[in-house]
Amino acid sequence: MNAFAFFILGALVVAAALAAVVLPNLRHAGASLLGFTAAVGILSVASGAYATGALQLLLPAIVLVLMSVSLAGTRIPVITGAKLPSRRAMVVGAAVSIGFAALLLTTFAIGGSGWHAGAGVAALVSVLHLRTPYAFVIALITVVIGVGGALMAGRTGSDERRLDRTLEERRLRDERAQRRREDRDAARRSRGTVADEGGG
Amino acid sequence: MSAGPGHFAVLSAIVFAIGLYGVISREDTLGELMALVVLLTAPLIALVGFAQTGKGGSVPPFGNAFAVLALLCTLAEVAAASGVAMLVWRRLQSSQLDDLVDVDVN
Repeated sequence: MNAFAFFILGALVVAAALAAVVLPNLRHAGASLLGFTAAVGILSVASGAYATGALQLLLPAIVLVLMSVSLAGTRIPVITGAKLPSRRAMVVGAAVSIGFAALLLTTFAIGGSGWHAGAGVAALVSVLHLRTPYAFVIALITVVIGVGGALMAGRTGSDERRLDRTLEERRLRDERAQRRREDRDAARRSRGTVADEGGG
Repeated sequence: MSAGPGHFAVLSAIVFAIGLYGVISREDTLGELMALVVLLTAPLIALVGFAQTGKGGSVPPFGNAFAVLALLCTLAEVAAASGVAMLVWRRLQSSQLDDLVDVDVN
């Protein structure tokens, strides 16, 4: 792979990863995360791993679309309420991550050229089919169970929507009753004041 | 000049460190999940890079196969965790991880 293209894609990957981690607004962070996975997929394609890159580009998009369609109409207020991390958490996180990065880089540097196996001529699909079929099937089943479980857990049933509506109606009724009570009290007070003035 | 395994190793380490920073510092569930995705993608970059640019030439692309398996597992984990995050919100009306400390599971 051309080094120039690698550096450009690498810079994109790092920038998108930073944005996904640092941005306090979760919508912006989610968009950055999608950009990050897309940049990693493009990097894989550019380095020659076409099938892997295509999967990295397609799978997150498919899962996102599936979840968006299934959860359409469901309130997702979990998106709101995010805030910037505390200063102490930021300092600890930065220190630990810099330490781990140094450890990884040292390990790679000491390992020299002995830690990579090499490119191959066999197609990825044949490897997944012939050499690692059980792992592949188990991973696929895990994905189906994970996504299915998330949809079951995350979606709101009709009974829950009915309950939400009932609670909302009760809240409005209580508010109206409270307002009526306050108006009555205010009217009584003003009547009392007028009577006092008339009597005096 | 072409990019070698060392380039991919450095990029993978940087992305891993960024993801780790996010996992430690974020306090909301979805932000934490996003940081986790970044962290878990770092090994994929290394696996693909090593498989494509490493020495040899006769070894089948096990690196790519591992990357695909890891990607599938990451997706499953993130999907399940986001479902749990929504459940937690519905129960606690909060997306902050600190609020989970007082959760009564009964």
